Amino acid sequence: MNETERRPKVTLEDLLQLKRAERPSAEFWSGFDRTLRAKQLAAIVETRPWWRTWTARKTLVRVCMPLGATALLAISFSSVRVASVKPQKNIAVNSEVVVQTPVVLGESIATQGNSVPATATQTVALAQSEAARSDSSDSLALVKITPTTGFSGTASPEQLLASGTATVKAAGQALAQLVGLEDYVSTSPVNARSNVVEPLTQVATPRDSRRTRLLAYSVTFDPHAADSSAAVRSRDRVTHRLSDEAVYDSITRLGLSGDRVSIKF
Amino acid sequence: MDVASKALQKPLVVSPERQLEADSDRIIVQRVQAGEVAAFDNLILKYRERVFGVIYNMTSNREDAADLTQDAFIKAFQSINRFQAQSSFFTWLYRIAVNSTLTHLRKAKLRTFFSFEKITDEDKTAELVNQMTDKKGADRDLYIRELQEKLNEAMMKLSIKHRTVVTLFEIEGVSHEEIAEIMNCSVGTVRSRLHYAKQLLQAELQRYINP
Repeated sequence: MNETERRPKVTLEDLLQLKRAERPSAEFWSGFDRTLRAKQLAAIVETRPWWRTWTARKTLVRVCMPLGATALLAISFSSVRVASVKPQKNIAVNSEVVVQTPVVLGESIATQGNSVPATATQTVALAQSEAARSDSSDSLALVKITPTTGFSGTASPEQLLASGTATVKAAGQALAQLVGLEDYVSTSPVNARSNVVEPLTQVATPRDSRRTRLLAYSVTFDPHAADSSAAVRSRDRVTHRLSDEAVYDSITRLGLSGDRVSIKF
Repeated sequence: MDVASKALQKPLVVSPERQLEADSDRIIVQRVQAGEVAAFDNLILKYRERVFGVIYNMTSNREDAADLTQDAFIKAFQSINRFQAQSSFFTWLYRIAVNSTLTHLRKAKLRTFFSFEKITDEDKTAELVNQMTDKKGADRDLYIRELQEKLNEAMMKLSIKHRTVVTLFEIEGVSHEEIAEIMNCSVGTVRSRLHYAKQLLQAELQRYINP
C-alpha cells in the first residue's frame, strides 16, 4: 500500500476551506496601511484629466452620443439632398381651360405637397364668387397645368416657387378671361413685376459702346449691305463671336473702297 | 433587456447580518460623501482582509494582491460620491476589486508567478489538517505545503471567471446572488460556472479528496 492510499481523504469543500487560512501576518498589514495612506494622499492631490471626468459621467455620454449621431445624420442627409438637386431647365407650362357645370362655391386650390411627381397634373379649381352669387347658368373654370419638362421628385424651393408662380399666373389669366377683365394681365402684380427693368441693365458698359462704335465704323465701308437686315444680323453674330481685340484687328487690317479690298499685315 | 440586467433588478436575498452590515456601511458612506474623509478609514479596516483574500486567491500572488487591494480602495475613495446605494457598499467594493483583478490578470497572463502566504495555525485549520493527515512535526508541515501547492496549481488551471466564482463562493462565502451582482451576470451563470469549476478541481485533486 503506497503513501497516497494511506492518507485520509477529505472533500473538495474541506480542501478549499484551507485556503481561508492563508492569511498575511500583522507586519504585512502595517506596511499595507502605510502604502495605502500614501496612495490616498496622492489621489487627493492629483488632478484627474478632464477627459476622464467626462467619460466618468455616464449621463452626459448617454445624452451626447445620440445628439451627436442625430446631428451628423441630419448634416449628411441635407448635404446629400443639396448635392443631388441639379439646376433645372426652363419649365414650360401648358395651360388648358376646361369649362364645366355646375357651379362650385368658393375657391379651392388643390396642390400635391412639396414634391411634385414627373407626370403630375396640377388641377386648380377656380370659382368666381360673383358667378356663385349669380344664376346656375354660370360656368366653372378648371385650369390644367402640366409641366412638360423633367420635374424631378425632389424639387428645390426655387422650382416650387417658379411652378407656383406660373400656376397662379395661368389661373389669373383664365379668371380674367371669364370675368372679362382684359387688362388684368397687364395690371397684375406678377406681370408688373416681370416688366420692371433693372436699372443696372440700362447702363451701357464700355465694352458695348466700343462694339457699337466698331460696328458703325465697319458699316460705313459697306453701303450696299447696310440696309439689309440679314447682313446686319450676320455681322452682329460675327462681332459677338469674336472678341474685342479680334474685331478691332480685323477691321483695322481690312480696307474696303469701291471695288478693292486691301489687307494690312 | 439582457440576463444580467434582469438579475440586477431582482431583490437580493441577504442574511440579516449582511443587512445590518450594509446599513452601517451606508451611514459611513454618507459621512464620507458629506466630506468626512477620515470615516473612510473605518471601511478600509473593515474590508481590507476580505478584499485582499479575494484578490489573493484570484492571483495567487501576495504582492500583486496587496497592490490591487490598495488600488481598489483608492478607486472606491475617488468614486465614493457616485455611489448611490443601489447595492450594498460591500458588493460595490467587491465589484471594483474583481474588475481591477480581472483586468490585471488579462494583462499579465504570460508573466504569472506565485507567492503564497503561510497557512495560519488556527484551531479550525489545525482540526482540518488533522483530518487530512496523521503525520506530526516536519512531515505534517511538508504535507500541508504540498497540499497548498497542489490546490493553488489546480485553481490556476481554471479560467479567470471560474476561479473568481470559486473564490467568492467557496472561500469568501459570498452568496450566488451577490456574485451575480458583482460579476454582472445571471445567477444561473454563476451556478453553472461553479459546478464546472468544481468538477475540474475534483479531477485535478482526486488523489487528496474523497469522491
